[in-house]
Amino acid sequence: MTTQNTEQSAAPIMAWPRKDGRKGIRNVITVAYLVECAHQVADKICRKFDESDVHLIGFSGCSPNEYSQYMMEALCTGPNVGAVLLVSLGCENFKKRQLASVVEASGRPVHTITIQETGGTRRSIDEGVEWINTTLADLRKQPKVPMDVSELVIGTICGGSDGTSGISGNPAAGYAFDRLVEAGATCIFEETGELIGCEHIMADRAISPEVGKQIIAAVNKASAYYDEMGIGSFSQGNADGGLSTIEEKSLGAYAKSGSSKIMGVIKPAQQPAGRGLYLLDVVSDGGMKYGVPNINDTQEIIELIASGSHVVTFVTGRGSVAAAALSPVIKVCANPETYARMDEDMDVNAGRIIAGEATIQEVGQEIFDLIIKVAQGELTTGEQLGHNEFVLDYKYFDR
Amino acid sequence: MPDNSKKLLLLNNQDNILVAIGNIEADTNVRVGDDELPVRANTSLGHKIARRDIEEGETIFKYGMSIGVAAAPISRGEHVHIHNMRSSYTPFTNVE
Repeated sequence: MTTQNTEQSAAPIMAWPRKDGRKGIRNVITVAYLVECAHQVADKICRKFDESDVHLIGFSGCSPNEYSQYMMEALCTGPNVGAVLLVSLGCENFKKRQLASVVEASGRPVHTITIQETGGTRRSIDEGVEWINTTLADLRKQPKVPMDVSELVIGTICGGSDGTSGISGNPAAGYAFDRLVEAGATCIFEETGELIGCEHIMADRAISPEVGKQIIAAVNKASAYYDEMGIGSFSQGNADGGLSTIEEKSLGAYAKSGSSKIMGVIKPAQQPAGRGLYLLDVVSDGGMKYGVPNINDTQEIIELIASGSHVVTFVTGRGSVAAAALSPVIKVCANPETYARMDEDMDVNAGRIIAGEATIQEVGQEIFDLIIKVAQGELTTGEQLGHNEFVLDYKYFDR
Repeated sequence: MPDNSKKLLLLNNQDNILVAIGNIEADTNVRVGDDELPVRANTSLGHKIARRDIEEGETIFKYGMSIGVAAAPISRGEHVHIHNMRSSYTPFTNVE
């Protein structure tokens, strides 16, 4: 197995170099609407192209929000993005000129369509399609360079968790994380609201007492936030699948972080300062201003991507079909019954651990190997099926 | 008698529950190591069964760690779930 690992690590990943020193394992054009009023026009532009080349993202709100602004700036200059088309209605509050200049400074082609100036739906769609046609041809000529495993940033989440998630899928994803950290890569795990009950064991893994305090503070903030809301991050599906409390769900979810030292706590769109394992603090600062911290799994995945994730692993027990725009999502199915029903949407069958057909280490190695293959260009089931889900909501963080 | 030896999983020696890794029919005796446990209700994959009698207020251990407390006395072999245990953190009212 060691020989195989060495071979995997040595195999070249060919990636697109970016001006900031990062490298992209995909080179997509993203079309970003800057208010809901521009969503349909942006969507119609995307539908003229192959869903593997052009990905739709955007922010629906018209009222200003600092978080959504810097999230969009981080996403539009993320490692897998090659060019950006901004679609504005014209009167929304989003700072589109600031976003365009951030993208331009990153060395990427960027173009802004303002529907009120272009003259309505059809003219805006035509202008967008023409720009993408030209830009796609330019992107296809861009050269690739070798990329080391240590340059990868990998995120992990779990969703649709059940009683199998914490004994098969999450520990296997954790094993893959440990292997990635050993190889010098950067790993991010998240959802502090689903780590309630794990704060002290997690703090014991902190690289320093200061990071330990940050971990406990982040989970305490999440716990207080959910108390204020009156509901925890716990669903009917979690209970139907055998989970009884938030701390039981948390302990299962915690397993996907592996056993490496935790180097720091970051906030959405913040890039990890170094290599190794980081915790993403996803719950707003300053109390319950904007409602539910993450309205669904997709919002969590998008935050991992905004913090630089090239690939995200997604462990599910009940089963999900969702992937994401901009970065490939590797779906790890924890439950053998779910896998049997939904295999076309799954990349890894961790249910084999439950069935006694494979060990956590074997499935964990499979996840690690698949991350490398996906970085080398292999398409995930989500990419093959055209899943480009995207959600961005209002939030507030102290920065 | 069907082979039930692989239907319940003990995750940690400190645990007072076992996890079903297959579906178990009501009133089945399930073998766990040298022991035999009377599972009383239909139990689906991923759900928990009491490994021994548990008193009300006692901590429920899974992975060797607390996942909440017993909200009622629980007998050995009984289904342990939201009807007889609760969170030590955020309770919820959104599940049936």
